[in-house]
Amino acid sequence: MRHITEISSKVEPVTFVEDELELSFRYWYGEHYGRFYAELRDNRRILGMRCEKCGSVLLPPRPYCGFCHAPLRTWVELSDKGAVDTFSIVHTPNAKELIETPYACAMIKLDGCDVPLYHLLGEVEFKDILTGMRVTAVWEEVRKGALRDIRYFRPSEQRSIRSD
Amino acid sequence: MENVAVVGWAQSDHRDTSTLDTRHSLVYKVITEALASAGLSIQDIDIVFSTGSDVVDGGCISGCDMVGALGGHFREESRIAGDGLHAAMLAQMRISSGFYNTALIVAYSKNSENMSGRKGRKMSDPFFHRPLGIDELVVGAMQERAYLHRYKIAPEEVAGVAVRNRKLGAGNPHARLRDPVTLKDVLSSPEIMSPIREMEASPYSDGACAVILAEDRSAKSMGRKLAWISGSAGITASFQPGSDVITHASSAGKATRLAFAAAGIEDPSRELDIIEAGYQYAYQELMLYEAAGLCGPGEGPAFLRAVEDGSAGIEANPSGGSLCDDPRLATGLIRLAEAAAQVTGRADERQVPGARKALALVATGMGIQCTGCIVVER
Repeated sequence: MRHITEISSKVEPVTFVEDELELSFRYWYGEHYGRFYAELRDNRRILGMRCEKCGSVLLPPRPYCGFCHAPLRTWVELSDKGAVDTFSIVHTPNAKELIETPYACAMIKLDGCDVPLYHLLGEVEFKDILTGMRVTAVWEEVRKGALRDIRYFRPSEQRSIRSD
Repeated sequence: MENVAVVGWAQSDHRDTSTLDTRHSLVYKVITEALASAGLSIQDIDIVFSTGSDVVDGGCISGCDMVGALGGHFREESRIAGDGLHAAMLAQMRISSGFYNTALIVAYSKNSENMSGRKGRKMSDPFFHRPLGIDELVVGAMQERAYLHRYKIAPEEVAGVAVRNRKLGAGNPHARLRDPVTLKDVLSSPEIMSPIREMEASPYSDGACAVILAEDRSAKSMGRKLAWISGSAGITASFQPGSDVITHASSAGKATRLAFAAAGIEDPSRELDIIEAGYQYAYQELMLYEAAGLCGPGEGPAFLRAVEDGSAGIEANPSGGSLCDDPRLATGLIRLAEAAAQVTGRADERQVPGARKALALVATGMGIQCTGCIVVER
């Protein structure tokens, strides 16, 4: 075997290889999410669950309590009105297929629910968004059983002023 | 239970892209250096733990083809999904059992090779969060707004965290961002997700870190100053991001309480000399001080000013922390390496004189709901 004492520094090493991984999924909703999305679609209702052990009202519906780990059995209908808990303005898209930027998003505390719902805000100037602002869901006419069946939440006050 | 010491460590020079190294050669280099720093060879190592991300690496169980570089063949070897600091805690438990003498912990990230945008969205659940694009940056932005709102904290206070860390990072040869910035620089950097500005976000970097732990007798036989692990804990809070929950870092609160109790620390602000905290966004450093009981709720900014003028009696992030480089999943392990270096007087140009006791902490995930921390002392 010939021993190489020197590798020519004049030769640039080969630099990189490109690769692409295609990952596609079909996630099954299961009973709880399945019911939740069917109710959004068919009845414009937001369903949550109440924990009989610790009393928390939880969203989204899951078979277990996120606070105390007890099994959940009791379904409850939640209000489609609530208050902005905290918010942000998204300028850079997270992924190509999502929402047109810029848009406002918020954690919304639906009345009577202990876990905020992450959703979008609409019909409001970014500068007018405030923590604690009352908001109401705006529903899509054609609904598909998805979170975007609620188009966004709009300020509750604004509508009442407009309708005056 | 055996006492466990941190006996060796090494980290790469973290960069935005490490074009000359594969992830294998990146970790091989830090392992070689860490073994040399402990005066050990790979034959002296009983267990190997590694952390890395399948999503960043682009491979299923991507740790498999790292085992050779890790020196893990025919040794006990395992990998965790999370920061290397959490792996160090597992290694500590293994050694405490008395069945193993030494452990090598390795964490790495070659983020620059993954071209598929923000990774955080791939962490959220596909049923309820992904459809609206929620990820750690969005949650971080909403968490910062809630925190500032609740305690009436000015954006300048958050920008000040970045200024301070970048100043300290300028003295750290491993740091990726080594140029100091002004308050004006930070406040005029683009708002990447309101209210988070670009310079207030950790720069996702390429980098690696290796740490070696040993039990009492092996460690003492090395004949040098040692960083003993006196307490550790890892806690994950539930992801229920309401403002009442996310304005205090509850996982960091519980993790530090447990670690301090194990270490016999009653008043952390008096007893600790150093805190090295890894996180993603500047405001989180303030929340972590509050959660660790170094100051009261909402007092993070005042505490940081006291650190700055020396009246706090504690130094925070002498390395410049994760706002200067964030090789994700290695970031926390680097904090442990820095803390061990400080208490053994081996922190070179960033040495804090007389440091005896240090807390290494890393807070990750959406709304920093996951925290690992380790107390080391001389």
